[in-house]
Amino acid sequence: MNIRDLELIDRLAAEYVVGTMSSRARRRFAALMRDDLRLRRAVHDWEHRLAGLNAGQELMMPPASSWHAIEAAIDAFEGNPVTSPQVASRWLKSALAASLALIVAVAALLYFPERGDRFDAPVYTSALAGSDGAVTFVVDAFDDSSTVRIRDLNVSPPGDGLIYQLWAVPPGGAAPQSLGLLGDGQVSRLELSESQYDALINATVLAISIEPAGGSPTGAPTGPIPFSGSLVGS
Amino acid sequence: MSENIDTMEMLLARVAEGDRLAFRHLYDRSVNVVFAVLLKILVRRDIAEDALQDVYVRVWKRAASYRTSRGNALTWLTSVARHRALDIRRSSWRETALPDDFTTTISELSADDDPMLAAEWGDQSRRLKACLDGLSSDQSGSIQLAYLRGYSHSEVAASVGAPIGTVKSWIRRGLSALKRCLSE
Repeated sequence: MNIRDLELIDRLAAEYVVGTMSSRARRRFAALMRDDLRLRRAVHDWEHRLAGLNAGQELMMPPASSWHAIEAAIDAFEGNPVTSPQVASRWLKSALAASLALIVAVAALLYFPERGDRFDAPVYTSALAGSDGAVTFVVDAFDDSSTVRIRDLNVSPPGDGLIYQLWAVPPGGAAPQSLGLLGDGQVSRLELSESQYDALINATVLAISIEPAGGSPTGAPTGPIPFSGSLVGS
Repeated sequence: MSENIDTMEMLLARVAEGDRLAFRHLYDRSVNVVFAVLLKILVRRDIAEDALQDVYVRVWKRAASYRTSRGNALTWLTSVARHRALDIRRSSWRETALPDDFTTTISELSADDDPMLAAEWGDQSRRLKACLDGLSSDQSGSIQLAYLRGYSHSEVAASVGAPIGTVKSWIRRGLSALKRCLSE
């Protein structure tokens, strides 16, 4: 490695930390960083150099509900019983369903180990539950391959001539984006386009609708949405 | 009791062992900085609140990966927050959708005015400020718009009314000068 390489690493790390990289460049850089200690060190150095910029900013308090939502998510992650129904993310109709869904998601991850998962851990997970709180699908997203894996926990088929379709629901009430159609098997894999992957990593909720075979004709969910779940970064 | 004594690094070490009380203390001590970081970049409160939840869940899960060699705990927390906010902003946003009159604050205090937070930042922010003062106002201003607001090169260019190539050059040269100054 010569001095020009070192300079390039330092410059890219600075751009990554300052935040001026495009979405695509950020993702590529983050993927490279995972396997390269020099990049990680360069990034940490720049984070340390620039963090003091935050010191002069106004302080802002979030609503108290933010703590409750965090606590509920951690309760669910740790497998603790949820004691209060008001602690949920507002994205889900049922707080209990969401929390149970996460508990079962963790259980499901243990229950359905797949060869190679230890080296290719999902970066986002969502356990989709029905209105009764029972988890129906576990969706895992993998950061560097733009692949989504959907595991069907013995869900009834959607009906003759119908199909399940997976949607990424962005925050702020914007329109859901389709991530694809689910296959018949117990495990489906979807290869996402760049725009679909962007939609996924920015979603707060994943949802599954029932659509005619071939998928929604309009680009938006047209049928019932029996299953949904929070998307949790791992 | 220990809330007044423990540093954030000590709290984070206890969080890594699954200590929920330490996590609550860490949250209370840091959340007004972390939320400010998110809100500045994401602008919309609803999106910033969702991102906040994601950030602290990550902190809970990843506390064991924090090393003091990565700087102080507040640096680590704000870095987790900034990267999450930037990922959201870069991926989902169209620049035209951004309001340009973002002034929502509910506190007139800055982190500098909070003695405990000022102690957390310590020399880090004082030295950085001194080095920023040594840059041209164009360099310093562009770096701060990018870092604090999450502006892309083109957003900074539009904001300051300069060509994008000029802005790239200001930021790049400004960062080089900052690095030199901070290493002195």
